[in-house]
Amino acid sequence: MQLLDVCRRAVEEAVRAGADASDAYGVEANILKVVLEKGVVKRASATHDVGFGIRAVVRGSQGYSYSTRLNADPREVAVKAFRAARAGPPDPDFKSLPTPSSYPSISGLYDSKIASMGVEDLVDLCYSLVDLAKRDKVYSINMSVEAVEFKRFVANSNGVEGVDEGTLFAFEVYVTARDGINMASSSEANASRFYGGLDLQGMTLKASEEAVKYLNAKSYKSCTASVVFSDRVLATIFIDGVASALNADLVQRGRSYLAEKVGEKVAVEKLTVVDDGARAGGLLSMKFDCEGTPRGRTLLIDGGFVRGLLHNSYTSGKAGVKSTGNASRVGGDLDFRGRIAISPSNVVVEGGDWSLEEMIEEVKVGVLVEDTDDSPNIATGDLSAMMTKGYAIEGGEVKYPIKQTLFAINMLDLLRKIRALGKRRVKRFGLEAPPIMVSDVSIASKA
Amino acid sequence: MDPRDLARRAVEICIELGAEFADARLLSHSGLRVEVADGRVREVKSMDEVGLALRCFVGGGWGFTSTSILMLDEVERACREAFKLAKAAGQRVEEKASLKCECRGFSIHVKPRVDPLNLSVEEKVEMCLGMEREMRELDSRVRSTSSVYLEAREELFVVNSLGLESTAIMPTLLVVASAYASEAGVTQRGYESNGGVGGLEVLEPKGPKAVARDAAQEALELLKAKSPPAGKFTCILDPELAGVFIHEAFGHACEADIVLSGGSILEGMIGKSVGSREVVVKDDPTLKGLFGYTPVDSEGVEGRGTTIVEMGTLKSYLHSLETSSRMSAKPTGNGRAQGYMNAPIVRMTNTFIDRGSWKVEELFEGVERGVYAKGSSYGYVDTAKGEFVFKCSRLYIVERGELKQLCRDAALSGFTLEVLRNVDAVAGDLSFKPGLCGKEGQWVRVSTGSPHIRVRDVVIGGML
Repeated sequence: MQLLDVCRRAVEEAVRAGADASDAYGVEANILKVVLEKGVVKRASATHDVGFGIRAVVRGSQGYSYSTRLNADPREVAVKAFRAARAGPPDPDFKSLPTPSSYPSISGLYDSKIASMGVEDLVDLCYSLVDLAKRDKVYSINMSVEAVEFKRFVANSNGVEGVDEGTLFAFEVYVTARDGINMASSSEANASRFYGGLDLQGMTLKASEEAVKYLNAKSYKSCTASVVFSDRVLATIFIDGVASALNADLVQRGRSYLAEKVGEKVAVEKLTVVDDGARAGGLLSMKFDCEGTPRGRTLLIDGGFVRGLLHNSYTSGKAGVKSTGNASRVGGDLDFRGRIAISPSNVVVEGGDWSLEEMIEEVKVGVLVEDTDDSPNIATGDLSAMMTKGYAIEGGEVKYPIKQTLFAINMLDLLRKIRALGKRRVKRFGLEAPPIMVSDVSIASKA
Repeated sequence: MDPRDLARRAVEICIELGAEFADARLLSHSGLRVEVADGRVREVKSMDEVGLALRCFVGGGWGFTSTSILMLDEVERACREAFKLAKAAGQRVEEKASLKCECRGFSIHVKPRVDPLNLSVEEKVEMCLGMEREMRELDSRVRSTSSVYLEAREELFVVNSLGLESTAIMPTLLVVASAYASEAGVTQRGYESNGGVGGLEVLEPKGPKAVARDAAQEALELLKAKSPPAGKFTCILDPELAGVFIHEAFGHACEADIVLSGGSILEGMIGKSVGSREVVVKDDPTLKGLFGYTPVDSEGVEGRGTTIVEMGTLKSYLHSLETSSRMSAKPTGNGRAQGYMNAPIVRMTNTFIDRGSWKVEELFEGVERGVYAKGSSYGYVDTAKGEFVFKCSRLYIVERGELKQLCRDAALSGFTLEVLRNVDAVAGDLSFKPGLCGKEGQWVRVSTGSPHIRVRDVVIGGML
């Protein structure tokens, strides 16, 4: 039986069991991965994850179940979801699952080259890149490459049905450098929907060069300074700090620092942030979200004002507005096991008119922050983070890499203190954003 | 065919194909997850899944695949695939180490003393709703609440080509509470959890309502909190935060797969001094009841306690079968995988700083100006740089040994090679907290533990 048929059957069975509404979400994902450790490919894996998750709704209460056995009777899974839903109290805020509508046609989401890649192709690719990273003081070169092909299926009791397919290619390189007991590292990672979408050589070279540079990293000083944020840290700011804080569920429950700010000016006038789930070639573009609502474009911040929220069918029903097509699954869009949630899709920040060099020159004395693994506290907006990649700016120039240095700023202050936006936008995973220059950031270091 | 016979047959097929080593791991996972938010059910999910994970080792390379279709023809296909992947992976490996497994198989069936299956789904939903009521009734400033109840049962069977067969049946239970309190335009979050391996008895003595109260009290207390100071401080860490601290600051850098990949600053440091004589660090998968209790790992190896640091000296790394074979060490039972779709990698279990001789109040004496950091949000480390950060939920300024202003959202950072030297006092009040640890996209249950400790020169990222 095809997975869409299984989804349809599961929905029918849930309704037959007594559910007021039901939907099913099926995924077939093939993930081929090769890992290179210390310059040598050591591991290869193939994961085939196939299954479907079903949601049953009884008086608004939502029950879930899932199965990886496509040949089994979907009735058993549907009844489990129904019984789970029945165990909860009524929820009058639940209004309706999505109703049928046409899906956008989006180009650049499927690359047959990725779909046809074999393990040898990925092994050869790793070996073709590894020599680029070799240089004096480089101690170990580690990489992982992943080729993913997937199909998604959705069906619900309102007659929604959809099938979507796509590919993605992910690459990560992690280089360590050693000089006696002194060790340093640098990594680069990104993913694209098509094979030629990433500059693999450039990423490998950059990781290697920066790992060696980082051997000379110094502590910074504790001070208040202007900071240029560029590269991966922009995802911390704009995806984790802005788009995720405009998740309608968090806003409705008062759990976001932006909850009381909808319609208000929260940022400098030149800031425009859009969630664009139907962008051609976008890493997180899809025809429909995890409930079957068409993906769309949502203006989140315009002219510094909060203009929109990210919705799924539950939050949009509660607010009496249309869903923005941002229903996700806990565990990711390819995880049929997780419950429905809300996530940003591709986040696009409009660029300004400064070059990165001009911003650095303008800062004179400060810090260039490129990466952190921290994320803001969404309830308070406080961002207190370690720079996993950062450089001291002196005399308007990037001088030396810095280590063991933290920065802290509240997101509301950050958004109001953006002094400049860059011309050239960085594309990292689901983000397209320009570097920004922010004043009055608190810096803490050992010195 | 019986699934266990299918696993045994899979290992035979891989060896027949030419694998030097093969193992098969049969994992069935079932359970229930309830999540309630603001008095309404967000999710009641019934979980039930079985799968077979297969690994082949050929010429120094690993091939891994898995299947949820437990039929002989599908398993044969998966074996051929795992073998092909291993062959491709190992084609240029020069270090042709063979895998050794000088360990016996081990079987364990952990039975819940108070079986959660005796409660209906409705009663578990009511438990979550009751946790929420507890939070809301505590104070009207508690505006939004969530609670989670998670019960799971894992049945593991591992067989390998060196003759090992192990089984483990493990029930786990976890409750989580989150509270959001608001006042005068300020919102703060409190979080608390409790859980372990076993039945409902693992929630005692701190039951679901007490967990909920603690979460709400944390959120309420934080409403008064100011931004933290920035700079270098003497820091007293409570057991919860010190547990995360040792996990991040030191534990990950001791995982032997990271050491072998050239990614650990602790490579070549066995037998060398890494900390003050006050410090003893252990990873012990055999501690019953704790959330990281792993009597058998995902490679079928019986867990054994490992002393990582003794009297300040680095004694051992944590191992899987591959790393122990390559480093001529004994396996420690730390080869763990999240599920049947993941290959085992080296993971911690119950990692902790052992008891010291100080009294908790003595840690504060003589601290002219420092901080007392409590509770943990999260942490992470770059094992090569040895640079780590961890977030505390509450931070108090300490002046002349006394607690003063409460601060929020502080990040604390340090260096692996320096930080244990800076631990100058360890108290005797060891306790553990459950948690989930992420590595290479895999999440496994762990416990972190410690007594109160005092650390000099910790950098705190706050507002100047």
